[in-house]
Parts: sequence; structure tokens; C-alpha cells
Amino acid sequence: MGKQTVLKVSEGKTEEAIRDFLKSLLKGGVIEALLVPKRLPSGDGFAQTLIHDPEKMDGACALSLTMPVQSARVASHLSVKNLNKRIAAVLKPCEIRAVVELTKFLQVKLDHLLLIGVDCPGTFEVADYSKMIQEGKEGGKLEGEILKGMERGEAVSPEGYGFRPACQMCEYPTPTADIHIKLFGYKTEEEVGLEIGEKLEKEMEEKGLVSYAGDGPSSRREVVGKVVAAREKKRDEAYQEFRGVVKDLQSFLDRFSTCIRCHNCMVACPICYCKECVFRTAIFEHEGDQFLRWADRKGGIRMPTDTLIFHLIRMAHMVTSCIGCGLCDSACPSRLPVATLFRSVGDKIQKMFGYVPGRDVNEVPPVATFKEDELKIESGAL
Amino acid sequence: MELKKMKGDKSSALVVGAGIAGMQSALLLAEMGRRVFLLEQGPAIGGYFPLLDKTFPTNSCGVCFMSPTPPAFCPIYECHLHDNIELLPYSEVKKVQGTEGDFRVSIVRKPRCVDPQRCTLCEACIKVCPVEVEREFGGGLEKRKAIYLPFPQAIPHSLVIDPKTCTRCGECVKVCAPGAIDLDMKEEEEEIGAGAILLGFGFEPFWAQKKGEYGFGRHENVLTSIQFERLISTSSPTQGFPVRISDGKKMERIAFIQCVGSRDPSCGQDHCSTICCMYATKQAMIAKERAPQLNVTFFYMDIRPMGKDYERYYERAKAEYGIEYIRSAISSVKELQQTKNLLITYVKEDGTFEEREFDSVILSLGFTPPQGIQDLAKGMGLRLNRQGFCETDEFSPGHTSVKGIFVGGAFRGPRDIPETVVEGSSAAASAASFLHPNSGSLPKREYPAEGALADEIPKIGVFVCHCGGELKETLSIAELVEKTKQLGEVCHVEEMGLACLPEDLNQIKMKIGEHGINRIVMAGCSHREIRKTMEEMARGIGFNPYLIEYANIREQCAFVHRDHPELATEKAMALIRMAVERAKWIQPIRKGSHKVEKQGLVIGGGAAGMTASLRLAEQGYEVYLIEKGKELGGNLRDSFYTLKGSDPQSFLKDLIQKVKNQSSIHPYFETEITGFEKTNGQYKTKIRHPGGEESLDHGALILATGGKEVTPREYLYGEDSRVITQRQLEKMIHLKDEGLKEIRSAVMIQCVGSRDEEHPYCSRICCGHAVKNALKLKEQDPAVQVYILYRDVRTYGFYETYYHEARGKGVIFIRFDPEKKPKVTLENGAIRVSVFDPAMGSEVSLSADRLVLSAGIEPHDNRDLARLFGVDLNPDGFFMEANPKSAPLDSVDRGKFFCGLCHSPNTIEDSISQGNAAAARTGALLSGGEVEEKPYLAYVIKRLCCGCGLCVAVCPYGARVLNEEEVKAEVQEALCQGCGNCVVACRNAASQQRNFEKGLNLNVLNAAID
Amino acid sequence: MSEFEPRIVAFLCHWCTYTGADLAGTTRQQYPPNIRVIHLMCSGAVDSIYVLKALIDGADGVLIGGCHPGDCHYQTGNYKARRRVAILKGILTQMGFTEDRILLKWISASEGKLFADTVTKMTDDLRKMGPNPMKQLWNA
Repeated sequence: MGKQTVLKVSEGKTEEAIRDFLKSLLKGGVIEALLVPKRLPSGDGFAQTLIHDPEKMDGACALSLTMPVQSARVASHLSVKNLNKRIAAVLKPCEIRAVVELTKFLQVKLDHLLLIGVDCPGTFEVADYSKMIQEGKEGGKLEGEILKGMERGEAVSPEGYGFRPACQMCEYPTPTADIHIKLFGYKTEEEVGLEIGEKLEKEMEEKGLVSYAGDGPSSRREVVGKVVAAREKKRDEAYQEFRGVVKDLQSFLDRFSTCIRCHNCMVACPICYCKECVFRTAIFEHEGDQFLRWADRKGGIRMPTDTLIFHLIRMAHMVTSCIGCGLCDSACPSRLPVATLFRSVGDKIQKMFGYVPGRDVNEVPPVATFKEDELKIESGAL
Repeated sequence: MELKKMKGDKSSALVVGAGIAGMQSALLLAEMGRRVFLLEQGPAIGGYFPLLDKTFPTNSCGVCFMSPTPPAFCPIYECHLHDNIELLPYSEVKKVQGTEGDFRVSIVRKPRCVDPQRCTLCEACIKVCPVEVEREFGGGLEKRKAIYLPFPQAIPHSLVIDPKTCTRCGECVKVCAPGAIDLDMKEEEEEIGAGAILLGFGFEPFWAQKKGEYGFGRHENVLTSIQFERLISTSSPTQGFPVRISDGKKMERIAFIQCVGSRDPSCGQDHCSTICCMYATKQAMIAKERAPQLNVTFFYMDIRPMGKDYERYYERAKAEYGIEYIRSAISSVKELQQTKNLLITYVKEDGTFEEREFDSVILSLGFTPPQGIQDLAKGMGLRLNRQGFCETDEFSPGHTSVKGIFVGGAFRGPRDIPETVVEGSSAAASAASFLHPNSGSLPKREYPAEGALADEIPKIGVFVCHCGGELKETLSIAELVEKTKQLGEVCHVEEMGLACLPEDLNQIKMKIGEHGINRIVMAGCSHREIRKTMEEMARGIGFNPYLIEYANIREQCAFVHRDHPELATEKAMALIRMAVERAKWIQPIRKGSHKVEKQGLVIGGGAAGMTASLRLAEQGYEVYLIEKGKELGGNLRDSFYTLKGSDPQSFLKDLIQKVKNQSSIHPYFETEITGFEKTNGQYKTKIRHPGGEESLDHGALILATGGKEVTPREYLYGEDSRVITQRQLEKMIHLKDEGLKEIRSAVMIQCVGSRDEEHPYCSRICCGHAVKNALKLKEQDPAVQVYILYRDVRTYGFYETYYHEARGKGVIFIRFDPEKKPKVTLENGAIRVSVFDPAMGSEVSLSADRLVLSAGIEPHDNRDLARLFGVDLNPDGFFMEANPKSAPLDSVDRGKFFCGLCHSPNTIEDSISQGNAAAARTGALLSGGEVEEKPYLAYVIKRLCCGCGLCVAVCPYGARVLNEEEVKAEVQEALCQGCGNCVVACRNAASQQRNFEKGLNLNVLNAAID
Repeated sequence: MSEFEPRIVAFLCHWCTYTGADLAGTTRQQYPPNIRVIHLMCSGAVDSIYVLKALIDGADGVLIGGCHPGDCHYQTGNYKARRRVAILKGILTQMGFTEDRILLKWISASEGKLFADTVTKMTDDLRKMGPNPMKQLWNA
């Protein structure tokens, strides 16, 4: 547990108060640069931005309502090689959990990267958000309504729009981070919660950036519990529905037959960190006679080949680390429920090893270790 | 009889007896570059261990780890494969002439009557042989013919005719297609020249009939432990399921009777056979795994699991397997007429009689010395001990009484496999020191240069061997040949008769030239059978041996699908297709080699460390000997006499002198280790000593950091000066301390700091220590009362005789249960010990002028060292070996070894053996000055690698490292063993394995499905 | 026409199970000829891709044979294999596929009979299960 304090919000301008706080990190020399979502000039979306100059913080928006990329990927690019100065990244809980997983696979290095986590009400599909704005919703106002909902632990979204399915079933609305910006349970037009982790605890105080006081509203715990419970309910319903639909090989294929093998799910996935997927290497390049042999065996084969095995192997590779951000869903042009598939399968496999992805950088991923006495799957005496 | 020219010379070694000790000695000496003759009197090498399916304390097999160059096959096969070892099976030593360093040994090669070169094991002869007798293997549970294979994995892999039972009817000769049988084969005499002789005669099980009262041979359901071992082996006729001999019904209630032919002067066996408690416990556990409903009861006197991790094993047997142990003496074993069940009457510890009925009884046979070697021993001038085992000096355990003749293993007395492996290694070290350093190392064979085959388009030659016609009985060879011709990139296909014989090999050579063949597919027997021959042929003509593929259409097809000739042929075709597919993609492999520093680093200057240093120095290596204290000697400095009566102090003086005289040993005192780096098998250790800091390059590391006596925390130790440890008593006796006179009554308490929660292991030496000191007290004054309060008396091996002596001299042994530990109180200033005596059924109270605590052994805190050197500790803090059975002193990482008390509690004698053995393992590694790479190395396609480190995490050998700068993984070729685990860990095939590339495997898979 | 004859692809480790399969031959243990053996150095070198490829491309069952726990010639490859197979089986089960066409079995070099019995039983089981539906899919 880190140390607690609050950010005072004046005139109900929550976004600005958080922005000022983040600015103070840059100004106070705590960090050299800040990765933070910035509202697009068009106003209908957000983009992660690496800001060096504190004066260029305009539009920086810690509570961004879309997730155009999984920023764990960005964190990976930023930190894996030759990052010699300290920076911070403002991330959503699922992005932080992906960062934790990537850290285990040495794709993120936390030596010079601070994590700033923000309570997450959920995100909208990029296209949905854009549409809402174009339809006349006012960005700042929408956020205000959502923040109000967060105070009570209720998911608020405009008529006709919902948060992304993965967000609706995400049971991790709050992050573990070096700096945690707390929104749930707070009257955010007056104050926002702040928790400073061990790494920065002293430094922040010494630099006069914070003074620690108070535990925040007593209702927060209950509010978060309420959010988690609602999402867990959603999640379990989704699992149940999915498992009801995908009962056997045929129903699975029927459900996923519109996969066009674009690999978008893989590209969007923060855990799929390979520089080049094995399915794009020479191993899966075949010559004409090979395709003919296959076609000969089955009478005919779908082209391009290797669709099912792609999904299965991708799953074998990363399902133990799937943190459920759902960007694969968002990326799928065929609107396949890839995320629900991964979460539903991942749930069982992760439990098999008592492994919670994204929980702790010191937890060893199941694919990297073993126990001598476990998993009696070897068939016994004949 | 024809006398052949002498083989071998002063630089070679002759190992007599190819059991575990003999094979270990042979493999190590061979790795050191020596020419080794390995002689075995039986028709196949291996000794007793082919009988063992599982071994304690791991309940796994593990024997393959024995080879000094893991990963390896079973040592039997490794001995067969090793270029420097010549096997002399079915032979006997007739006479040893010459002197130390220059022996001439006459041996007799007994007639096998079957030519191993030609025998294809088609077994036609076995079918027609009319003579059926009991099969020796497994104690006669099964039958065999007069012509037979000793056991399935036998090397030489050929049948043999037993002259004692063969009737010379000639039926076998008629049916033998390759003409391998010659009933008139004569014995041949040969002469072997050797600088050193190593004896690994082993042991024989006690002859159970001698203990007639147990009914073996009369009652069908009384089995020996040898038979039971066979019965529960998965390769037994019941696949290891325990059934009764009389009616084949499953066993439900069985009893083990311990000490049959052990600790029993009445049958001439006054020693403890050391391992029966453990092997019987193992048999019971395995039997229970096979048949969980089985009830197992042990009748025993003392239970003696004294090896590393054995105590835990015994506790598991009781707690997890529910095996019942009853301390008792057997009164009688009666067979019940109707059921053929057995009624055992026994006397319990408290003197009461009880009866129990069992459906089978297993006699845990003790060990006797090998029979029939007395004359030979006499001829060599070898001294045997009273029990008939080989006598050795306590402080030079590998040496016999004859200079130049060495010994290891059970011929020195009963011992388990780890000790036997250690002693086989120890004998090899002693022999290597004795043979002149580096003289006569076999030169590496020279072969013609290989052509550049890598970039050529594959031209595959396929040779289909029908194995002397036998495969034709199942497979259509003609069809295979025809269809193979249709396969792409195949330029030549040919049928062969016996591809392993020179005629056919020459034919292959010719065709290679004729057709420009650059890849060979050999379809026929398993690669395990023919690989050596093919590779030798290939090297001889400059053909890269890794461009030969094998299609196993014999063992894995024709032999096993006899009733389905068509499907078998189809399968054989698939196997050939797969091999051809592999052949298309494989690349020549030229194994690189890596320099290893010819220096050893030994940490710890006690008995084990000094011994290891000396042996290494004698083999010609430089040794850095690191000692944290100011002087050499370690625990040996506190030892003044041994149970067997030797003088450790004069041995120590001598040892230190030898170390000082060795110019190639560089001792460092008051030195600590500050750093360790390894690159590709080269080590660099940083040290700090009063003179400054240094960095030492070395190729191997021996950890001999020792251990210490546990400081007791009970029984008033430290509170009353009359409460002392055995070590303190030993010193008093040695110094003739005045206090000795006060002692009219001494009470000793065993297992202080052993077999308890904090130290859940047996310290092995304390029972002997107590008996030793008790005898000394009695020797000084027979009137002194000595009581030894014990849990089990563990005077194993020949120490048993001293236990017997102590009892005879009036030392009183009182057993106690751990739940009822002795109570020590002060009464009017005197020490009183009260304890519940189960034999009396009441509490006894003893007064003690001295209370002597038999404190156990514990290791020093080695956690920092272990972390620094990257080796593991077991839960008790001792260093952990790669395999407790067959690589007891090796770390998983190559080139790191353990010996002495840091490995496990040991006697001085054991520590010396281990020091020798560690030096032998080191010598085998350093001998060539370089390590050859394994063929199927992993490699990294850097373009694809994202440096995720999964390959590093899964590599068991530390052969994978991350280049931090590039954020890419790398392979340390000298350490890679070629398992391919990293290839699978890698998600996008950036990690690959030579000739097992992912794409290659998928292509082969494709060919398998077609 | 006789009953359905399954096709088994087996990945056997070099040291234990492949040698055990050889021993089955030496000792003439008979078993059905439905199996095609691919020889790898270690059971820990069996990639899930191989197993799935086999099942999708035409095998009815996949056998993975390795050394018994504690006997792996590469120390721990079999434990890693076991995890990998457990994950794969878990995935297949969760997706509504059947996992019992994949068999992981520890067979030592001395267990020739066990190898023969394993193949016999697996062949029988697969005969009862019928053809692998995965291999028949044109659109997998």
C-alpha cells in the first residue's frame, strides 16, 4: 500500500486538476516525459502522446474513453531498449496488467518507466465514441456524467451506446501503479484520490508535489465492490452464453467461420509480442504441390490455410497471460467474440496453475516453469 | 588352443567385472583418453542393475545419468559405444603376471557358439531348441532355452548358448539363416597388457536355502528379494503386477523378512548388508503403486536407511504408503496346506509371541562376496577380509593390497548404487594417478576431409536392408524398393542383405561414389543398432555422418506387426517416406569444440578437498585449493581414531605433506570467494585473501566445503559440563584426560540433531561413533558401565561386527521411541537419565558421570556459495546432485562437482572416495583440454528473436543467455546438450535446433500423415 | 470393408520411449500397425503446433512419449511437456473439442511391453471413437 492523499478540484474541472498534477511531475523534474492520452483536435477521440514539454499538456486527458491502442505495447517500444531517462505512462488498469505480463517476458523494462494508473469506468469502441461526438455529444460533458456514475459505482453511457464488451466484463476497474489516480467513490467535481507508491513516496513529498493526508471517502471500497460485482456478473453471463453456443467443434467453427485470417487480433494483442508471428514465417509458407497434397487428402481445403491452428496456437502461446483488454474484439473486422473466447478459455487454464496474469511482476508465467508433482494427465496403468 | 598377440600395453587399463562399479571405472578412464578393456565373466555386461526397474530414493530408474558425458543412454550401451573401450564379455581372468604398472593378464574367452556379428536375433533357434531351464535373470522366475538372450537389452546384443545345458542336438544350426551358430566354437586364450587392473567383482545374493527355516525352495509363495524385484519390474511377465507364484492370484498381504543372511553369524554372515532395508522398502512401495490394495508388513531388527534422503523415503513409506514395520524376530514360517498361505510366528520386542498370515513372503537377501574368485584373488595376491570381501586400507579405499590393482563397489562390501558409482569413479581416479600422467592417451582418429555438402541439392540414396531375410517374412521389400524410387530427390534405391556386414557396407560406399549420393537413408534396423557402424563407414570416406537418416522398419515395424504384412509394408513405406523427407532438409553437422582450462578449483581443504586436489594434480592438472581457514585438515583434525582402528592424525599429516609437496597444487588460505563468471564452459572465480584479490581461470569446480557437528540444544548440553558430544569424548580419550577417571557410568544418547524436525535425515556416522567410543571406554576399564540409548542401531556393513563386539563386552543398548525421548535431570548434583525401555516394558533410570550426546552432522551455510556458483541445495542444506542414483557428485551444470560432508554425512573413508571420484569426473572432463559440442545444438535466428527470455528460463543447462545489449537470446554451444526444449519455448521459431528445425519436423509430420 | 482404422502419429523422445519402442520390437511384442513414429530428442521438444497440425491434417490420435518423471535425460523436459500438453488439452476442452485424442505417456527404455500395450489400447480406443472430425474439416 502506498501513501494516500487527494487532489483538490476547483470549479468542478476534474480533468484540469489531474492535468495540472501530471504537469507538476514534468515541471518538478520527477519525469523527463509523460505518455498520456490526448484529446484529438477533432474532439472525437484520443491518442496516446509522449509529451516532453509541460506546456504542451493541453488536451491531455487521463480519463480517456477510448483505447485506440493497448498502451502496454507503446510502453514496450519505449522502454525495452535504451531508455535512459525516467518517464511515466498514464495507463488504464488493463494496460498496466499487460505491462506486468510484458515485464515478465522482458518486453517492458520498468527501470525508468513509472506507471500512472487511472480508475477505469470502461471504454467505448473508437468508432462509437467518434459517432457520439459527431452526433452532438459534448466530450467534456460526457466524461462528467461518467465520473458522476463512478462516484456511485454505476456504469453510465449515452442512450444507444455501451462500453466495449470486454470492459463490461472486466473485474479489474482499479489499477496497481506507482501513482494511482482514484475516481471511484470520489466526488470528482471536488476531489480526486491519489495514492503514491513506494517508489515515489518520498521524492514526491520532498519535491513538495504532494502532502499525504486522509484515506479518502469511506464508501470507495463499497463502490468498487459494487462495480466489480456487476462486471463479474456480466462476465459469468458471457462465459455461460459463449459456452452454450460453442459446444463442440462444429459449433465453434460455425461461430468463427467468418474469420478472414487478417491477424488483426494478434496485432492488437498486447501479449502477442513476437516481432514476427510464427504463422508469418517461412514455416507456414508452402509450395503449390503441398497445397495440392492437402486438398487431395480432404477433397478440398479452405484458402488461405491454417486458420484454426492459428487461433489455437495463439491461444496456447498467450492464453495464460491474457489480461482481457478485449482489443482483439475491437480489432476484428468480422466482429468475432475473440476476447470472450480467450477470456473464457483463459479463465480455466489460468486457474489450472493458480496464475493471475498481471497481478505481480514476480509471478512466474506458467509456460516458463513447472512443478515436479502436478497435473496428473499422464494416463495411468493400462 | 590358440594364443593371440597381446592387446594393450602399460598405458591401458583392464577392468574386471562389468557391473556398475566396473562400467563406471571403464567409462571414466575411457573419457580420460585411456584404452580400457572391460571384461565380464557373463555373456552380457551390466551386472545386477538390468534387473532394477526403479531405484530408491527417487523411485525412478536414473541409471542413464551414470555416463560421464550426459545425456547418455544406459551405461551398458555407452560402454558398447565408446571408442576407447573394448568389451570382453564371456571371459575370465586366468592368470595375472608381471608387476605393478606392467601387468600381463591371460584371459579365456569362453565360446558363445553364436557369432554376435551375424546373429540378427530372429529367434528361430529359440523356437526349435528343445532344452528349457530356469532363467538366471530374475532368480529363476521364468524359463529360457539353452540358446538364449540373457536379457532384452543385453550387450553384446546377440544370443548365446549355455554349454552346461546344451544337448548339441543341432536343431538351432539348421534354422539359423545367417549361419551365426557354431556349436564347435572353442574357447580362446588372449593376453591383455595393462598398467592397472580394476576389480569390480561385485557381490552375490545370499543363498536363501541356507536359511531353511524360512521355507524358500519348499514353500512356493516364499520368494527371494531378487525374484520379487523381477516380479515388480514393468518388463516382467505380469508387467510388474505382483501375483502369487502358486496360483497367479493377485497378492494381497505380503511380508518382508529382513536380514536374511545379514547380521547373522549362524550362517557365516556377521555383517550388515547395508541396503536391504532400502531396497525392500522400495520394492514394497513399487508393489503398492502397482497394486494399491496390497498390505505390506516388514519384520525387522533395526531399520537402516542411512544414505542421502533415505530417511525421508522410509518415512514416506510409512506415512504415505501405509507400510507396516514390526520390530521383531521371526520364530517360524509355516505353509498352510489348503491356501498355500504362510503363517509367520514372531517374537515382538517385549518378548510376546504373535502370528500373522500372509499370501506371500519375501526374503530380503543379504550380500555375500562373489563366489569362485578365491583362487584368482590368491593368484593375484589379493587380501580378502574375514567375510571374503576385498580388503582395503581405510584411508586409501580404492587400493587393494596389491599395488597397481584397484577396487570399487560391492566387492569391498555391500553398498548401494550411489556409493558404487562413487567408488567406481574413485578406483578410476586412483588408477589414473597410478598410470603415468598423460602417457598413452589414445590419439584421436584421423579421417579424410569431408566434401562440402551443405549447399548441394539433396541426392538421396536409400538402402533397404532385409536383415538376412527376416524382414521379408513380414514386409514386401520389393514393393518398398519400387515405391521408394518414386519419391522426390531419391537417386538410388537398393536392397541389402545384412547392411551391417563389410560386404554390404562396401556396396554402399561404391554406390555413394557412383551416384553422387549426398544423403543416405538406411531402412532396416533401429538407428541404435546400426548407427555406430554407418557413421564409422561414412567418416572413413569423408561423408558427413549426420547426413544419414534411419528408417526403423525392423524393431518398430516388421518385428511388431507380423500378423499384418500388408499394413506393415504400408507403414514401412511411410517410415521410409518420412526418413527421405528428413534427408531432404538435414544439413551436415561439424561439431565444434571449446577449450576448457586445464585447471581445477577445489573449495575446502578437508579430507575430501585435499584428496580431490591430489588426484587432480597427479593426473597432471593445476589445482587451486581454496581454504577459508588458516590451515588444511577440516574435520579430520578432530578425529583421533576410527572404529576400524586406523590413525586419522598420521593420515592427515601425510596428506598435508603430500599436498604441500605437489607443486601443481596452489593452496590459498583465509580466502573467500567474491565472484564467479562462466562463459561457454570456461570458469573465472574471483577470490579475496589477506594478500589481495585474484581472478582464477579454471575448467572445473569441486565443492568440498565440509560440514560440522550439530551443536545440541537439549539434554542439558551447554548447561552442565558433564554433558559432552562424542567428538569431545573422543578427544578426552585421545588426550587421556583426567576426567576419564571419574567415569564409572556413561550414558550415550543417539540421534541428537538427526532424524528430528530440524534435521530430518540420518547422520550415518553417529552409531559407529558411539560404538567406537564405548569400546574405547570398555578397553580402558571393563568395569565402566556404558549405556547407548538409540532409536535404531545403524552400524552398517562391517561396522556391525563392532556393534556385536560392544554387546559382547557388556555395553547396554536401550531403544527409545522419538515420542518417548530420554529425560535428563540433575539429582543432588548428579546427572540422571530416565528412559522407557520397550524390552522391559518399564521406565529405567540411569546415573551418568558423563552424558555423551551423539550429535549429528550438518552442512555449513552454503546458500551464498550455491547462489554464486549456480548450484542447488537440498532442503537439508547439502549440495544437490544431478541424479541421486547415478550422478551422485555431479551438478546439473557441466563441470561442477561435490564431495565430502557438504554432499552428505559421511565417514572419512567415504569422503576420501568422494574426493577421488570428484577428481575422476573432473579428469574425464578436462582430459582433452577441450569439450566437443553436441551435434544437435540449438541456434537463434536473431532477426526473429525478441529477447523474451523463455528459452533462458527453460534451459536446464544454463546454455541460454540473454545478450542484454542486443536484447536477443544466445546459445552457449559448449553447454547446449541439444534437447530442443528452448525451441518449443520460443513462440515464433526464432530458436531452432540443428536438424530438428520446426519446419523440418512439420515436413516429416506431413510425410507421416500422407 | 472392415472397421475404421485410425492413424496415430507418435512423438517419442530419443532416450526412453523410442528405445522402449525398439525393445518392443526386440522382444516381438505385437501391436497394431496404425502408428507412425517421429523421433525427437526430448518430449519437451514436442511443440503444440506439431500436435495440432497432426490432428487437423489427418491423424486420429497423437501419442507423446517421454521418460518417467525423474528420468528425463535432459533433467526436466518431461515436466515441461506435461504442462504444455495440459494447456493444449485445456484449450481443446474449453473450445468444445475433445482432448482424448492426445495421449501423454511415460514409457521407459525397458518398457517394451508397455509401449506395445499403449499403442494397442490407443488404437482400440480410437477405433471406438471413430474418425477424428478435425481432420475431415475442409475449412479448418
